[in-house]
Amino acid sequence: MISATAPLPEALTPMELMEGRVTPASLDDQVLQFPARRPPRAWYIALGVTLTALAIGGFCMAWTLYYGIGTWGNNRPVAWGFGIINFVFWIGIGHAGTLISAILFLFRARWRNAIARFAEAMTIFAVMCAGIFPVLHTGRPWFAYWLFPYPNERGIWVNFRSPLIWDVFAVSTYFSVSLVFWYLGLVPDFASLRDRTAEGLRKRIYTIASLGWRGAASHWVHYDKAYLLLAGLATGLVISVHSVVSFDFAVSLVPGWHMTIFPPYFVAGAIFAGFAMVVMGLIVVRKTMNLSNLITDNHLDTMNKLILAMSCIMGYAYCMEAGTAWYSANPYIQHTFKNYVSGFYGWAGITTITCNIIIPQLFWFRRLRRSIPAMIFVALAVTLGMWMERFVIIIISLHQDYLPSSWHLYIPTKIDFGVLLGSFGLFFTLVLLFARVLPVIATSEMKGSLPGAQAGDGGGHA
Amino acid sequence: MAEGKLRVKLPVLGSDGEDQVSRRRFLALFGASAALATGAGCKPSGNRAAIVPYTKKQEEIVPGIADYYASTFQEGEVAYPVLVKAREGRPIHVEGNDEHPRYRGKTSFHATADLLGLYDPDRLRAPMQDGRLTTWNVAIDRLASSLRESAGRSAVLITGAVISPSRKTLIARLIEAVPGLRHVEWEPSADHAGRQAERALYGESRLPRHRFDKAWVIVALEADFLGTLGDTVSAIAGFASQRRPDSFAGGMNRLYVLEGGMSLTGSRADVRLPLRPSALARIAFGLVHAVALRAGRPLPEGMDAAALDGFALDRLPEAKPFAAALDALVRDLIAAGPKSLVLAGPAASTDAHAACLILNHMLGAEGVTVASDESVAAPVLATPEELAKVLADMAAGRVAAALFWDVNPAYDVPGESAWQAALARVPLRVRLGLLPDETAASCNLVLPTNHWLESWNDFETSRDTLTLQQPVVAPLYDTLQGEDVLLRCLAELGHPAGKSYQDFLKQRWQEEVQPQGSPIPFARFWNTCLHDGLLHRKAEPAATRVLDGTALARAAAGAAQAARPTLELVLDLDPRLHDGRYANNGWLQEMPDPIQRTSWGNPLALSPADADRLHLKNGDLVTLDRGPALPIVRQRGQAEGVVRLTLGHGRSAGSVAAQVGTRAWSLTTAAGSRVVAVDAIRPTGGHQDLALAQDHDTKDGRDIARLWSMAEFARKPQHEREAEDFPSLYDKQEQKGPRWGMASDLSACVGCGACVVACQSENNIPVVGPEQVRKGRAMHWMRVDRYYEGEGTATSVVHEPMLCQHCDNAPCETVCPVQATNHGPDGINQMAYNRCVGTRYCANNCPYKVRRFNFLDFTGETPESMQLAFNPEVSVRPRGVMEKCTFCVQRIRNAEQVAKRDGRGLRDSDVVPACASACPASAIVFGDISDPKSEVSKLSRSNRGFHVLEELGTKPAITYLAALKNPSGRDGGER
Repeated sequence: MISATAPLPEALTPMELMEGRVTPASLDDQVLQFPARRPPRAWYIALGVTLTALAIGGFCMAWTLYYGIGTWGNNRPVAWGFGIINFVFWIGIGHAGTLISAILFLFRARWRNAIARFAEAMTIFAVMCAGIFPVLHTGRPWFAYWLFPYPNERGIWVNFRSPLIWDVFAVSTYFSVSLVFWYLGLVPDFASLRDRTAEGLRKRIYTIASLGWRGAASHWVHYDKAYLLLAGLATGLVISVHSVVSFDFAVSLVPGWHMTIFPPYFVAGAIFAGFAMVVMGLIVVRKTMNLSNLITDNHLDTMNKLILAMSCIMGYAYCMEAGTAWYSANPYIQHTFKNYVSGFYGWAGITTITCNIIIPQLFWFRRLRRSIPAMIFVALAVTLGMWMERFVIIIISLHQDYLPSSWHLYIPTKIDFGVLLGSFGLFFTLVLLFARVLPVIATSEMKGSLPGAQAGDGGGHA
Repeated sequence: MAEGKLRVKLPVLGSDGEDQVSRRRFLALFGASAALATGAGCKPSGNRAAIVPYTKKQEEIVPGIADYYASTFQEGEVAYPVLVKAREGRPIHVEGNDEHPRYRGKTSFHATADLLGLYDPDRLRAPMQDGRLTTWNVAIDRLASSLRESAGRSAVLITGAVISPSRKTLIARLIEAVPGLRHVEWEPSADHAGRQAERALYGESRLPRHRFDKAWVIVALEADFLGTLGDTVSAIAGFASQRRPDSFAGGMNRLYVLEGGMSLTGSRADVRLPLRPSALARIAFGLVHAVALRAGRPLPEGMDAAALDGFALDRLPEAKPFAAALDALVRDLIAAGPKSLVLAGPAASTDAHAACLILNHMLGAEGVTVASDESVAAPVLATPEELAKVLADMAAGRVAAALFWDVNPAYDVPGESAWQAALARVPLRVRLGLLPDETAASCNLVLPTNHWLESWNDFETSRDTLTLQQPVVAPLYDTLQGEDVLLRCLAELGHPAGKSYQDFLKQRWQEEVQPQGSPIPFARFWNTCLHDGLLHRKAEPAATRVLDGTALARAAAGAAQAARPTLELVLDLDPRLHDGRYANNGWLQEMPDPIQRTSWGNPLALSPADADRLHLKNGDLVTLDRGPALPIVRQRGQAEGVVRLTLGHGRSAGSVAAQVGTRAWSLTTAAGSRVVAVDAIRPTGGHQDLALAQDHDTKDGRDIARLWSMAEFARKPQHEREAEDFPSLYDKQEQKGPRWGMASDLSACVGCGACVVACQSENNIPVVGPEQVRKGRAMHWMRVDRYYEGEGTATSVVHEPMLCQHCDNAPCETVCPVQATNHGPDGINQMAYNRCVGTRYCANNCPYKVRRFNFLDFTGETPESMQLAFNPEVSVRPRGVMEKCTFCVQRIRNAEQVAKRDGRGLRDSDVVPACASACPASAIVFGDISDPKSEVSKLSRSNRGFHVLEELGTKPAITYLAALKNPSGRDGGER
């Protein structure tokens, strides 16, 4: 037992989860006011920017559908290009949300309550962005439904040996579970919104969306159970989805892809990239919506510690990969790894290592973990670095594989960049809409961690 | 027409008393209308009694069953016997005629590719007068009256080489009828220097007949006999036949190549000496000197040994760096004696040619490897100087009418201004040809001729064989065969010689070719010849030739004085486009150069040392003394101080040909020399990306294409190879029936690329254009990889035909999400285009990178006429679909059906895919590898055999046999 007089070690001190006095009423007023209010000018400007990006992307996607993949930079031997890079990138972004809402929930990390809703929303939007690419990148997207094992009169079945089929299951499961999980959490908040809103269309929508939630004890019992079960389900998915995505590479025999470390390495990378994106989103949300008292520096600090931890795991994975390449004595793999940091695309590998391994080390310093400019710098670096990492894995490995006669450079086209821009446009458009239409903080969960909400101490988990 | 018949003959459905159309009856009607609709595709044109348009079903044509016709393809002074495959009346593929003893079913890939010439949408479709459409009657009238009135002033007929006895007779008739007519035979690509030397030494020239199959030691001085020099097909076959030993003891020929640039022949050399062309004559006489001195061979009559005094090899400065190799060369020549063959090409001077003739003479090769006793007199070709004289006559207004028949001097005569001046003073300029080319553009009477697949003719290129050309399809447009134009002219002039050229030909054969007193009726004789495509005759050998020694002394003196320019530009024929005549052929434009691996253009080849000195990389633009800016390509093995450019590009007419590459003909000298002294190369600072089919030149130390010297081969086990079994997680493939496989002998393969063209024609492979090639999206299912080993003078080359390996554990099959690519029971890696979604995962996972993706719609806009060239047995693939080599599965299924119909099993030789069939070296052998007695199985067990990337456990069905190199000296082996 630790004596009451001695100060607790820092690690055991409960984190301050909110600043100032927050009551259930003030929380509702603060968070649930937004859907009822007209957005400020800045919001419209931001939406204009993201919609423009989305329109450019939409045009480029239409162009791709009309003329074919030849409008991209893909070639022989680099049959996969931006399409798959973007797919893996966006799927990775989604992982932070699931980790925060599911795994941290199971670990009873109360600090996640303030950010879970936002992170989950980002998951949904990121998976939506990711979902565009596997379809768009096929030669004949109008037949992409053939990848689903549906009964058909031709008696043709999919090839269960192909990792792409595993992908179809993994990603579609992931999306549906994430969506249900997110919606379930929203139900009590919809009810609060319903109760706060005067008669009208808005009220009718909230009424339907809240599914008759009355806050009865029996509702809470069922809700808690369902939430726990879904959290358990989603936890498995955090691990499985990106593992399966990594199989697209690991199961093949392309030098640089054929690596056993890929599943854990991909999962870590996904969480890493996702956290960076969530941090960036939270910085903007808490500033523009005056939520600094609920999403505190302590939250961001904790997130940044996780980014640092993931960065170290990535560093380990990179070293492990290089070590495997060296130890394998396999000239093909060694050649590919040499290409990662030298040769025509060497800059891409150097950028990856700098952004993912070196820059996040700034977070060893508490001052930088709590400095908004430092956070933005690191988060941007990590986002860039993780996109480049997929570029390195896909493009550099493919462009020089077994037979030197086939080696060829890959140069992306304007359409490639346009589609990438469009995916960012879609993502941030959805984020902006979400921020104004739905509560960005799960008030029902936050109320559970308000002082005095739980018997015994200053608060408990939701 | 066909629609009218349809209305008359076919009752309207349901109106003929029957209440309901039965299923059976519907199918019958449906079939009948489909057949009529198909027939309507081939339209009749003009009066063609002999060729029945396909509006009525002919007895011998069964829809779905191919017909084969023997014919002949002419290219300059060479005539290749061919077999044309026709489906539903239209030619779709050209292969060699296996009845011919010398070619045995092999032919030039130019013949295969020229199928596109038939369907070229650019073709002239009707006669034109002064730029306006006209009728044949008007055109012939004008031509005949102009010839009639040409008296006083002369008329000129310029044709290509005439190697057809019947055409020759016809032209002689025309000359009789039109007294002032001059006939000039113009082949810009001919080896004028060699012709001149032969005439100087022997007083005559004969069509070359070289027996590479009998030669043990071959010395080639700028002679690209495997790529561009004359009859490359029998040269490759003969050469390759001596390069495939079963064991070290088997022995092998030895090829010495002395050349400036790197030619296809140079790439297969056992010993290659990079030398400037200006040094060749001196070195050649040095060889004469050494052979005479060391072997004590007598010099030819009339030649004084003193003339050779200055040519001792150890005193020639050019020979210094290669002293040891030249010494070995002399030893080899003396040892091989009559089994040697010394050749020079167009870039060698007349003097160098003379020295080669003496060497062959002294070694006794004349009559053995130089089979001049079998050859016929060569046509008398105009030299560039003689042609210039004709043009000068035109410019002087002494020519009333000029006929250009299948020649394109507006493109291939060096000075454009001379050409323009010449034409300005000729009242009637007539173009007889296939395409609206540069010459047609300056003619006022443009007469469209038939393609060779629509024509009749005969050819005589050796004393014992005559070959026949017959039309396989009725003329697609309102065209006439050139000979028919002349015949109609003759009739107009009051000297009728026959109703049509077909009759003329038949009549001449009846009178002159059929042996006198033969009991066989002529009709049967003719039909047999036509069926076989050729006629063998017993022929007396040609008279032995006597070499005039006195001419030699002059040559030696010339060689001694040959200039030594600072930079030498070598102008070689393009192995694909020849002299430019195939420039409008997309298949040949897109076919990569076998050495440079560039398509769509002719970059200037520089030696890496010269390029480094000027800080140039591939694609940087330079200008020579005169002429346009050219992109360069760095060429390993090229001699320093030599730059090389190929002729045949830079056409200004033709929807495919125009503006591709540089017109190198403008750089040749007035005397037609193929080597031009250049003062300087000036980088312009510009850059133009080359359309390279292969970016990386070496194997990067990987064991993927084996090249062994004979010494290395001697150290290998000399017994059959045992298959290595790699562990695998997958079950063994279940096999029903044969297991199809291939053996590819890299030692026999010369890298010519005939397989690439044959595959393209057989499998409807689209042409994608230079932009897509640059992006790495060429569609060739079959490619010939080229890897260099060594640098500078030690550069060796290995060519490796690369195609789908039809792996037993195919990495592409496991990753396809929709099973569009899957494993057939006979081991074929199958591709179901209809099922393909286009994820391209298979292409990533294929370590051989043989899968091709339709990145864009490459086939949708195929012009209507070109669609006729499609093989109906192979799907035309749409956008977004993956494709690759199928082992010509359509041929396999066909052979299986024939065998089943005949109630027998498949025989070893039943299935021959297009590549194997086209390979002049017979380096590709196909068959059942599960049958230990099949040829392919035997080859697969060769001690030279290996699988590419075997260590990946893919279990490929293709075995490669290591290439062998037979250098002299310590690295080599004894014969």
